[in-house]
Amino acid sequence: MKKFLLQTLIFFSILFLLAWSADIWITRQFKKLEASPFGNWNDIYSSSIQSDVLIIGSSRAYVQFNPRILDSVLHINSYNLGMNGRAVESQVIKYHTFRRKHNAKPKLILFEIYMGTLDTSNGYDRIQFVPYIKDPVLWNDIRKVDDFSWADCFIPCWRYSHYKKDLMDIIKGESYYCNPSNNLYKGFCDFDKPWDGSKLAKIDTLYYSRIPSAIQELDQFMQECKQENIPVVFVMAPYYIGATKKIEDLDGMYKLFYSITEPYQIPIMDYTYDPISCDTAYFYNNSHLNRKGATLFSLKLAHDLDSLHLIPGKGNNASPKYVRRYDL
Amino acid sequence: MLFNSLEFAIFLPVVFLLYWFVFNRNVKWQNLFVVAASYLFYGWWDWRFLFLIAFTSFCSWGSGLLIDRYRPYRTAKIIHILNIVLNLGILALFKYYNFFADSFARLFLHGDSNRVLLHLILPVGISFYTFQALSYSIDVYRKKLEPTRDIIQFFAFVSFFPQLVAGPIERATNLLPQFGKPRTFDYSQGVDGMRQILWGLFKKIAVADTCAVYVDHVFGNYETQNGTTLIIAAILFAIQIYGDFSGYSDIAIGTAKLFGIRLMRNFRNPYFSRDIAEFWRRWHISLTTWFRDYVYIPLGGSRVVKGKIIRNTFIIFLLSGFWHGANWTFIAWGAYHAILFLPLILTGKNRKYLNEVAEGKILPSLKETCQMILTFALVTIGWILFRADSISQAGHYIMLIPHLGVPYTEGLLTAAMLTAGMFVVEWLQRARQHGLGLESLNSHVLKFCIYYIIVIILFLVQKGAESFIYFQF
Repeated sequence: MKKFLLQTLIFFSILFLLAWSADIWITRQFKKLEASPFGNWNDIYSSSIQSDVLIIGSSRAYVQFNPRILDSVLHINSYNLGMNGRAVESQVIKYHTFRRKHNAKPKLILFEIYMGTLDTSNGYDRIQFVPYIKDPVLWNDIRKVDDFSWADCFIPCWRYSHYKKDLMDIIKGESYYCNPSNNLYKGFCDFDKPWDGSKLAKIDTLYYSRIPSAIQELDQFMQECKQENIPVVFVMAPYYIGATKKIEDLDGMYKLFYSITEPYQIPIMDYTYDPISCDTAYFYNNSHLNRKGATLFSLKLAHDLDSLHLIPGKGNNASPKYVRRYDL
Repeated sequence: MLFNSLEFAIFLPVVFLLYWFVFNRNVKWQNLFVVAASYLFYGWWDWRFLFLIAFTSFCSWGSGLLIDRYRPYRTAKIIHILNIVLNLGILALFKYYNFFADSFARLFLHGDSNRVLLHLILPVGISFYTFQALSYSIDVYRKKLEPTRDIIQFFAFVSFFPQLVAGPIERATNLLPQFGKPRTFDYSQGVDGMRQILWGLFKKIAVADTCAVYVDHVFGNYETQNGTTLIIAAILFAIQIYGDFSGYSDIAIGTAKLFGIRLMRNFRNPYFSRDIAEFWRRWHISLTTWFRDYVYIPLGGSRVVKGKIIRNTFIIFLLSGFWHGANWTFIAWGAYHAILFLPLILTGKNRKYLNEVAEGKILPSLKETCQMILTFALVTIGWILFRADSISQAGHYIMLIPHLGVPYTEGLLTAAMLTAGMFVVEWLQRARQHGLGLESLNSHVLKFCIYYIIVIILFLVQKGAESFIYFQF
């Protein structure tokens, strides 16, 4: 028995060491992909973000709010924390990590909202968290809203076993995440793709999300910002009008966002009926603007923020009067 | 609890250490611990069905004692029959009631089956442990086995976790006595058990689950696929079901070895068979021999007139098909194999190939190769029936095969490479119990390298804890 146990122990010890080494190597390789969401997380973990304006949101923030344009028009320093495939709970976790890691306190938060904001956080593109889940605070937060298992954190390499394709790409030295043509800049990803309406064509009705835990999370976030004296502006970025028409009970969605934001007097900049939303030339699918659309929208957003004096410390109105909704 | 899950990876070493270091002083305590661990293993899926196993076990145990007590009176026979009726009744209720009710409704209630269907969950492994428990009482009745008075020993025999949910269906004559005497840990048996577990995991996770992706895609959209794709999917399903089920059996047998228990072999390289009769001597051996010993031979077997041979052959294959599930497809699958088997048994050629193929040689002869390919092709056609949701779907699938074209290739290369790897290893190791029978290899470094290569492959190809096909049976 002793011999058996000893051999088993040796076998698993070597296996553990191999897996542990592989885990370190894979994590490093992922983190090296600067032109990817990992680059975004690297910035957060290196405490290097000194932004005046912070953009938070889903993939719609990630591919639509261009900090290069906002910075040049408004002469500010903005940074985009938008994340693919994720709703409010994950977005707030990312923001908390940003604050916890001593990045500069923003003077304004632009919070991108849409019909999927108040969804469950168990979305796709989970891999963006994976190289960082050894951070115990992040791990503690993310496992509450996502279906990570204990093994992902505690068994070496296990966390990467669900992402074979990404792993093989990494081993081959390439990754879809790291496409130089996406022109990643301060968390913004520039997608230059043509319109594809095939998925939308198959959908009769779209439903907006209203998960109670997500509503609560958003409420807590606004409370937190109020306590920290960080102004927040909600931005309903362009959404293809053909899809907006398919949303069941659109008024209900607006009412829900009003009811959430009203106690905190947070304005909503609404681009739902903006001309950009009516032209497929600006979109690559119903919910995401392409490079052309994102450029136009970011320019428009910068000018609107400026003309509405929503940037603290700039213009005549440092503390703008609360307006429920700007129809832009 | 699945063998290929993290829970089992924790459960097994904990149970192993407690079994050998805490409960090893006394056989009764060790057996009691086996029962507790096995019930935990099963209850992980649904604890409510533990009562069913306990009830089945108790009835078979009690009937064994009563049969012995009332022998040679008629009462013994009545008890024996009652026990069979009770066990098969439970099986019929959970597994077959809805099938018969639905068929009845189609015939007499204009298809309105909602009035007669019961919403019952099929308990995992019910066919396996029911047959195992039945084998005990039948053997006691036939005086092949002394009944045990030790209820814990009997419960351990029925519920022994490695083979509880998907076999091998053990005979009481083999397994029960092993729970009656002290077990000692044997180093070489333990190491061999670990290797067999690893090989079983390879067959399940690397081969079966990889093939399953392709198979599920094609069978799910078979109407839109061309004939070449349909042929490839059928072949991959044949490989999937083999990798899945024989992989499970390897893990079960290997796990049992760690506990000093020897289970019967369930597969002997069935796809290296030269005819259908040989295939059935090598495929799901524990079930085939169960039907042979408890149904076929009591009916007279092959030592009767030709008409009865045909009847017996059909009975055994139809029962075997029906055992797999309450669906006409399984019955058709059984009938198909009966038709393939009949010419061999009627001409007395069913026991022509009792040895290993190409014994003592590296490669098979051309004749043997052709025989193996033909047998595999025939078996694969049967698997289409087995995999299809209905007979009409299977028929439609087969009808589409002549429309050849460029095959769907996503995931095909990986599946093909892993399958080739499995078959090459199994061919080279065909005289051994399993693919990783490496006793003759002296270099520990080389052995460890082989193990690590397999572990790395498993890591790279695994897709989460996929269930085993045979759990549904």
